[in-house]
Amino acid sequence: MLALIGRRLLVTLPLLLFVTLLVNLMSLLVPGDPAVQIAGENATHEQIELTRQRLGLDRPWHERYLDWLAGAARGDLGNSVFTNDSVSQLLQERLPVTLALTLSALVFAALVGVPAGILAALRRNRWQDSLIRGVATIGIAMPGYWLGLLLLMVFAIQLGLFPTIGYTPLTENPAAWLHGIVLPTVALGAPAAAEVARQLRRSMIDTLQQDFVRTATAKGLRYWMVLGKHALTHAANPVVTVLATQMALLLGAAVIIEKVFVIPGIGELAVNSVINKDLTIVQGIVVVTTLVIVVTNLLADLAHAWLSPRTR
Amino acid sequence: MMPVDTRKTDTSSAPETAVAHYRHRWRFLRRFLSHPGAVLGGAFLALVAVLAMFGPHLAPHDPLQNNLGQVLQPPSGDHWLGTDDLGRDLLSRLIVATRITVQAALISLAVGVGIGVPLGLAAAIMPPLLGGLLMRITDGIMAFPPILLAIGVLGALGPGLTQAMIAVGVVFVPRFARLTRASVQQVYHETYIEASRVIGTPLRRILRWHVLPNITGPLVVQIAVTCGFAMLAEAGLSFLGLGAQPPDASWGALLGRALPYVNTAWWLGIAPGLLITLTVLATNAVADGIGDSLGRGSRRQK
Repeated sequence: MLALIGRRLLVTLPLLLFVTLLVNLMSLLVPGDPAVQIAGENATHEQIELTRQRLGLDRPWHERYLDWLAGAARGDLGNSVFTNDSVSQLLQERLPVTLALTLSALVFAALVGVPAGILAALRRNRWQDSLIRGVATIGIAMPGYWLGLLLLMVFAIQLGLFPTIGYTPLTENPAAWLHGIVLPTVALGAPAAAEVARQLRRSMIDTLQQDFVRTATAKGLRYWMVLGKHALTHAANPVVTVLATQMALLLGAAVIIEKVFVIPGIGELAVNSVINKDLTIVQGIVVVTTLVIVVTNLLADLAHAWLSPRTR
Repeated sequence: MMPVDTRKTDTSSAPETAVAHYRHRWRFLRRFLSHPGAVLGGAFLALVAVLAMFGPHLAPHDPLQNNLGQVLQPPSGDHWLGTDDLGRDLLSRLIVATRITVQAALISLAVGVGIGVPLGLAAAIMPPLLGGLLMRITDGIMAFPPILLAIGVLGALGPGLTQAMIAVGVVFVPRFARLTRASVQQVYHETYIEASRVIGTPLRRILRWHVLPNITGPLVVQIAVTCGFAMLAEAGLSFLGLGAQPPDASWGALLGRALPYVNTAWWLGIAPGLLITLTVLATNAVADGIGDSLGRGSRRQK
């Protein structure tokens, strides 16, 4: 197990370095002179020069990159070029909000997708299967934020069951947080649930036809034992992969869902930073989310190794 | 790789014995037509294509004509889908937005295919070590959610639909590169290609006449699947206000504009979302249909 972690880290670290390099290279793509923009319209030549020095833009980019990298290794992702806020600080405030939403959506996807997938596989080609497959097909095609909009219209505005806007932090009032997070979770998690159900159905049908399941049944094991202990552990493998890839997709989709439900996560920060061309913040967001995704993939690999000893 | 089917496949219409080789060319079409979902999806996509091409002529009102006396009107005989916050006719705006939406999807597809396929081809022919390295790099890009990478690129280039879709296209590059590499590697060491190489056929001609025909099938399926992704990504970015900039609008931008009015003008949020969903649904159905109708190797088994 330790060797596996070590091997994965060996692959992961260069990948992370590559991403930071890519993200920093993007600053070279910025059209126009950033110093001129930041110094403002009426800035004198000296002011622009001063701004350039303050931002370190007078130095070659590889020096700036190494500086940034040294800072990032210590957890300092630089400061916003406009407001001079610490990017790490901003992310510390907002990332937990987005992560909480993403994780609850992931849990929702598993809680809905797994039973649906199993049921569809067991009732293959009957009406339960058709229904689940039909709903899943629509769920995958439907943008989550539109579902969110519809849920908002029906359950929050028409029926008044949930708050429309206003976010309560988890640390302040867990019950209110849960109440406010229900609709965003469903909106964000529905496409993921559909994908999980489809994958699990497929791999479950595959598994149920395999010899070891027949052997287990033949030697007199109870139906539920065969299903739970033998078939499900075997069929769960692709689902772990799906959940890991979904985590990355959900992080992206969360940015949009946050706008619908006015949740103060990284989404709003990202959009505003793009519009203001605050590149340091955008860089910080991309690097940190990459880190989250990489860690998720690592966890998925470990889960794989645990579920099927063959891959160890 | 032989995925077990996720849908009922009508194998009865395509029995292996009845497929005489002179009818080979029609086999694909016949199989495709036996999928009602795929045919329906294809018909819907044709409608979308018509809207994209002739949209401005079909719109009942001027999509940019403000009418401040008729702001946020519910659907009526004159305005079938109601009017928006500036009194503009929503139906006309939707119809005209089709072209921008389709264009956006095509841009990202062009970037994904245009870079991904040559890259995959190169990686397959290169020495394994170099090709493997190239694939490792694309793996890294593949880990990115399209929306986040697009936001990263837009951070440098500023908001705008073309930039956004190029960024989304970059995320698709690895998918096409991997697929191309895998398909090429499958055929590249077949005897007939080795033979062709031995007698001195130029590489370009081998690729054109022996390799490419073998990878078009999987490629077309992948393009159709990716098309749905591209539309969802475009809609998402425009929804955030980072894609199509006013007064231009795509379906996603119209949906984003409806957001502040969910309390007062719910109808603004229904039609654009429905249109996006139906189009993606149709694209996925067509992709499934094509995948099922292709040659024996890639057809899904019951």
